[in-house]
Amino acid sequence: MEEKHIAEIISIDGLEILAEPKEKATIQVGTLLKTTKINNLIFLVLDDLYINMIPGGSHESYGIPEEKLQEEYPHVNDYLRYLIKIYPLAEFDKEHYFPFTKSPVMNALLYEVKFEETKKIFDNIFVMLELARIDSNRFPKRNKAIIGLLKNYLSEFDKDERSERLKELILELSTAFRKDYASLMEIVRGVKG
Amino acid sequence: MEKELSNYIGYITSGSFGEGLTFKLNTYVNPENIRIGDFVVVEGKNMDYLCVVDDIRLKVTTDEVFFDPPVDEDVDDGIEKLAVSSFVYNEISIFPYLSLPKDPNSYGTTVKTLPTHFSKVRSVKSTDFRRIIPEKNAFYIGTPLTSKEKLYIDLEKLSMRNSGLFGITGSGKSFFARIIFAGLIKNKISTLLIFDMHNEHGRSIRSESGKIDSLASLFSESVKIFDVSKSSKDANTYIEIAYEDVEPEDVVLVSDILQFSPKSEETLEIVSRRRKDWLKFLLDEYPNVKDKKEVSDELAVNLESLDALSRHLQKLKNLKFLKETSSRDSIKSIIENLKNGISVVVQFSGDYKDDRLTYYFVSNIITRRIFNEFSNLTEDTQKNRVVIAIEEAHKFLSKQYQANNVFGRIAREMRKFNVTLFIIDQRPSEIDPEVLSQIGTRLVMELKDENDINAVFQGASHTKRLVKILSTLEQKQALVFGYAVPLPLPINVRSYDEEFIDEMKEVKTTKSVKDDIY
Repeated sequence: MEEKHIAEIISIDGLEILAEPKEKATIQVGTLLKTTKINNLIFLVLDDLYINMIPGGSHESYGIPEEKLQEEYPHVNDYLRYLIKIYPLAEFDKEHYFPFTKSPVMNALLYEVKFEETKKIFDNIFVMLELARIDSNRFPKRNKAIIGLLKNYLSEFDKDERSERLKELILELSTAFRKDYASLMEIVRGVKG
Repeated sequence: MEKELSNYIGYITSGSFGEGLTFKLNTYVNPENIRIGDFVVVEGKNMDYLCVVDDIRLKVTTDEVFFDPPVDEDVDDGIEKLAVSSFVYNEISIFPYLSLPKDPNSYGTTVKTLPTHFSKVRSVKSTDFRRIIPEKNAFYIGTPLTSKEKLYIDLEKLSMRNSGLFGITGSGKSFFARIIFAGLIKNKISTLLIFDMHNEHGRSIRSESGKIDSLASLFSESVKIFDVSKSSKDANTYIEIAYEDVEPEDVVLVSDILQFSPKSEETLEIVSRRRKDWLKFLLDEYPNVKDKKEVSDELAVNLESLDALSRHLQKLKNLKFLKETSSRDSIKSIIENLKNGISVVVQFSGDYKDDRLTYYFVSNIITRRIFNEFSNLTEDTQKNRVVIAIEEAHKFLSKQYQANNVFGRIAREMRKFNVTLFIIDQRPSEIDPEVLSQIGTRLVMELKDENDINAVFQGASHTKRLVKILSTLEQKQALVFGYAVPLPLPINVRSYDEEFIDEMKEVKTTKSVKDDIY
């Protein structure tokens, strides 16, 4: 049975890549997604946001809290789009994962990355280096995304294995984030908590 | 060094000939398991380098660590500490003393090259230590400070030049000395003359674990005991010294114990110049002289000074072994034994035990005779190498006395006659620097006084490094450096226990030196 996509890339501006989840589904920051058709790329969801297609159509414009906007002015939703910001982490072929070289293409469909595949991705030390390379000034939720990613991944292991795997990941993170102590400690404390 | 998960403990990050090498300690190695003076091997491309740990530094890559330090291990199972492993690290300074060729059958040579960046550093294996000294000369003296491999000294080289064993009381000097003495005798490297002030090398000694055979028991065929006291049951021969054997310098050496007045030395010199029988005169005749003024005038000395000198010398009359004439020449007998390859322990038992006057007086007299005898021998006639072991050496070799003293002359001149000194002392700073500079091999145990520490390293290279190692030594540990070892060896001195004694008792024909090592 063919796997169903869960989002679609709708905007590419260098590494600012936006995708729209299918049927307004919510996709958590820190989720891994992949494209499989034209280019085989793994992405990390770094942010989720609403983009207003009509200038002035925001809750601030209406002078009400965000949660009241839909209730009081339901038509506004027709002009608001829920999008996710994604960042390429890796490329893959039938056997290997490696640092990405190709750019994603417009309207590429994004699929969920299952746990078994996530395990294989994490077997590659470069993944941690790619995570550390993400510019946290351009993507302020980077650290939260990494925390989400690692927590989700670790939650799939049983207790003993989780503890071992956590230590391995922390060591890899320590090397990757050796120039950013504050971020490292934020991530480590987020993951172990 | 405690064995870790892997034999490799780090990799080289920098280095120079002057400053030595630096390596980064692997994250999993606890720096508390490494101490100053430990040995490590750097595996270079063309050769390995045997190095000694000089310094250990805790480093950080950023000060941010201090503002937000990781929580304690017991809070989170060490997760945060693990995370900071790229920000904190341990840097170890080591100094390469010996190059070890890749061929495992070759011995170490002087370091003339440096290993490359990232050369791996590992703990030392026993096979590395076996390559320090050629096996036929190697004698096992102890183990590294934090491991159990065997370390060796070249006793042949040790006995070829003067050597010194220094350390405070209770540091373990006597046991270490006995191990060296046993090695010299067992391997027939030299004949020993030991002035045994505290009766530690006679028939038997008492250790914490009980009674243990000493040198004379271990090597009954090749060690003889001479004693100044007839109360000794261990002695083979009792020492008698005739007045004519005594020289003014023997008396001057103990002038402080005899409580000489400032004029006494000068008076002694004049009297000894004018009267051949000066000692008999001062001890026996002068006290009974009726007209002392006439005698003092005759000798051209001050009457009061002569009175005082004679009075002070009367203490020598308590030495029962000192006789006007001796029926047998016991010093000659000592010399004959030494010439025949029999080691001699001169004991001071009974009333003379720990008596400094007797010890200095007798040692000086015997040694002067030996000096005169051996310095007249040609290289052909003097076959045996003789090592003279003296305790409280600073007394004989102080700046004040050594210039004219026989021990000072032996230290400076007698190597060519195959006679060397083995100095045992706790105050090396009081030994004349000129004599210290003649010491080829130094075995240094715990020392506290800064002057003593500076003195033992006089003339040594890498002094700062060695001082650092010495400052970490405890009881029964020693730093051995100089002619008999190609690199400084910080060691736990092996025990003088039953195992050692059994080893010494083994007959050489059934077990070669080679077997001692392998």
